[in-house]
Amino acid sequence: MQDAQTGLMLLTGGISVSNMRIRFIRGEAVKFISHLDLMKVFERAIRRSGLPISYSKGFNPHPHIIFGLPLAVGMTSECEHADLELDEEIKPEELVHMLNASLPEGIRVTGAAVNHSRKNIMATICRADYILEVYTEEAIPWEKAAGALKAILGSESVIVDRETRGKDGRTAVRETEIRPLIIDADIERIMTPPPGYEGFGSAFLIKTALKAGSVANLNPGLLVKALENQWGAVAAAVRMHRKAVYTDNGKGMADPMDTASLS
Amino acid sequence: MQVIIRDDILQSVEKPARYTGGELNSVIKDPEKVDIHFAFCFPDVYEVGMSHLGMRILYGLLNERDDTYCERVFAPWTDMEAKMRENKIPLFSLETRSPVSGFDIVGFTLQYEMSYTNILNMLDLAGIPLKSSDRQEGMPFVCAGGPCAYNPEPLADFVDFFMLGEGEEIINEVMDVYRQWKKDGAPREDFLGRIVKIEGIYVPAFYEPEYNDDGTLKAVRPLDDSYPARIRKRIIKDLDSVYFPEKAIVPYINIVHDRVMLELFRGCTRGCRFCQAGYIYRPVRERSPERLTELAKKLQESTGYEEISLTSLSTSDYSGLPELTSELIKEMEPKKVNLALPSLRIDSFSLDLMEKVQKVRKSGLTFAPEAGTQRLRDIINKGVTEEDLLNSVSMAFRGGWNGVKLYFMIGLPYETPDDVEGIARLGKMVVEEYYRIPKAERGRGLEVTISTSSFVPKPFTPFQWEAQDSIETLREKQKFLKDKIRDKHLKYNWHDPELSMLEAVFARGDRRVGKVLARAWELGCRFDSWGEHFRFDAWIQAFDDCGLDPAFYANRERGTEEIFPWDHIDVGVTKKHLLRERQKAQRGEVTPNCMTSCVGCGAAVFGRGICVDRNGGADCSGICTEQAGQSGMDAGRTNRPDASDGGNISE
Repeated sequence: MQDAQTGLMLLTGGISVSNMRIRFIRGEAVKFISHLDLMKVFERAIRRSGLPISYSKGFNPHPHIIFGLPLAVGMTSECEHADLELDEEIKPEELVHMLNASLPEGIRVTGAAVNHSRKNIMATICRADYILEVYTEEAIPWEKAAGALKAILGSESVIVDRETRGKDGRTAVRETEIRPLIIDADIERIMTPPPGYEGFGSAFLIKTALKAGSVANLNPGLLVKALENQWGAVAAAVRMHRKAVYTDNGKGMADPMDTASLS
Repeated sequence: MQVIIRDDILQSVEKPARYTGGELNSVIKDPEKVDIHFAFCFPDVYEVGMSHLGMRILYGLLNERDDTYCERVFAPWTDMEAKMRENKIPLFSLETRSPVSGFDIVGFTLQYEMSYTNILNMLDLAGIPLKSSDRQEGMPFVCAGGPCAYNPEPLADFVDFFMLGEGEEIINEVMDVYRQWKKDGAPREDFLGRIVKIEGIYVPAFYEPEYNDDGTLKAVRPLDDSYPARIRKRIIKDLDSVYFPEKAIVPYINIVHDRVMLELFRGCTRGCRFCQAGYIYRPVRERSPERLTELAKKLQESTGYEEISLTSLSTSDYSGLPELTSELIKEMEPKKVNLALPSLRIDSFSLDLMEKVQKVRKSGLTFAPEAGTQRLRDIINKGVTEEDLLNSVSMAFRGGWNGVKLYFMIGLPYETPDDVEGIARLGKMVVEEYYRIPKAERGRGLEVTISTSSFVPKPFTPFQWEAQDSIETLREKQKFLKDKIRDKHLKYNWHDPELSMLEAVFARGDRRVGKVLARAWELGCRFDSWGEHFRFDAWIQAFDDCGLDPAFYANRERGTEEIFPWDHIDVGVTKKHLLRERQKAQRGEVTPNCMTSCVGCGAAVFGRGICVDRNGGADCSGICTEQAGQSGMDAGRTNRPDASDGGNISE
């Protein structure tokens, strides 16, 4: 990725004076836009805000922003992160204020901090926690639903079919081992489903911690798939929310906004 | 009441963000606190509709009113339509996800004829009766405007009222009447009775067509003497003082024109005889460079866009172009904002300008000579000579461009095989021009693409009387041309003539073709301009089922005395002038650019525009029209339009 190189450019004479990390929420209004589209949203918001972002040199200058773990289309999150390089020093509170004044509905910056670490956010993410709402047409007894998750956590190996798309655009199905990527998971019943989801046979809430990042990463959809296999039923609707991510830059797991991650 | 669309539905369709709204600068109001709910409908997908400047202008303008909430509605793509029908989700607005059937006024913009089935489909998805006569008290009024509204008859059965011409003033007048009417609690028909008095409003139900035995039109008569016999379009006299949005919605997903759009002027001075836009948007009115610079700054600041596009029918004809572009470059360069310059003629000024502003690969330049020989270019009054074109491409090749697209039409009136072959010859000459330039001075890897579309005769043009070539003839001409194009650097693309034939039917159709439209929609036609959804067989069946012959509308030459379905619409330009232009075309005579001299087309009747402003002010317009008409005829014989013309470019 280009991102990894940006830090290098900084060392070899870039003019940026300050590296900032921000945390932001991606709400309902922006859950169906792609990672690429999100990057453009930020580029434009930064341009509107007048923030002194550094631009890459060359014919087609790009602002220096690196985003953390891409969020799947359809997911909301309260823990998205980005690293920004700035040409001028700016107080974290002011950065938050400037961005929020310019960002559209559904994206809210909740924190900012100076980043002294040379490692960017993408390179250090190691874990992500999710909340999943899973709805099935048929009614699944609670014991069976919960038992299935217990069985998954209890086994050494869980294989699911994963669809992959090749360069030629054709999709192929590959068997994937997911068990080592599941850190923890818990299931409960949803008693009052949100509007529009009342008509399903079963509704479950799953809280899970999964390995994430560029080394090992599990899409929570594959955990749902493993549950479907156990249940013998398909999830007619799934709503996913990312609750937290953690980084590890060699000193143990930490919140990306903690000093441990930023120094 | 809000429409609920579950995530699983959105997740199962292509580009769900087409349906979720919430974009920056979209307008949020409390629906309970306004009197008038206006659903602005674009009968195509989001990415196409959001690229349309007219919609953005009227959206902003209506939402300036405290009493009105204008929301956007687009045609759901076929995957979403299937899900909506399956889950009984009605057509909804983007801003508040409200069902369209609950709006007061549902307005469609008519940009191209082949979007008409989408209008019916959207009405059906909304649960609004397709025919105006079936709509009851309490149901929305369906209105329409835009370039295709100048021949409103094919949609007369479905639309309650049309707004003709530029919408900025008329739409406010209609809203004022609507609010009063709603307050009065008056019956449905009374509203139409009130707005028919506004200039530019056409209520088709108040008019009745009568036909001759041969199927041609005898008359379209008002049912009451109080309705205007002719409906004149509206124009905005002063573009500097009229509303223009200072904020623009910034979509989350890529749209076709994803940039700030600045409208330089309206109308076109050139008078190409095939071009409807060149006639219906007359007279030419410009915005001042000062106003445009001010708008550019505000729009760029409110959107954060990285590109500003200068839009018009012919950017090079804008009188303040050097001043405007140097000002914009000064302003935008430090902000890393580019300028895009579509519809620019290629000359040393524009090449220099592009060099300065466009940070894109020097690959694609597009030229539109339209016809292959000088004879035919004179007939269509396209002021481009072979020399102009070759000079322009030569300049472009020297400037580093290596790809040239050449746009032509086949099936133009009075076309001979030699004219068609001329397209191939011209293509060859462009290739030769490239090799005439020393290797070191030209870009590498030449690619010349020749594209032909099929000529569609349009209302309010000098060719409105002409027959369109049959599908078979168009195919033969395509094949003939394909055989003549023999050069490894030349590529040939052509359009399917079937679509052009249908376009010709609905461009010049009368009220009866509305039945064909409804039948084609029943048979499953929609998104006809999208190749993958175009079903010609269904259309032919629709014509058969309705007992109408498409050839009567597309392939028949009209007599000079024939009454047209759009004769009761007044665009300023007179039928007499169009006929005169047709006769000049038959003689191969050209007509000068409006900038050079006025040819008395009739558009001066509006009392504004370059024709009036440059001839001594609005008060003499009536007299000027006649006199200028005569001098224009004379001028046409001797003068050629601006000789530096060389086609268009786009990125």
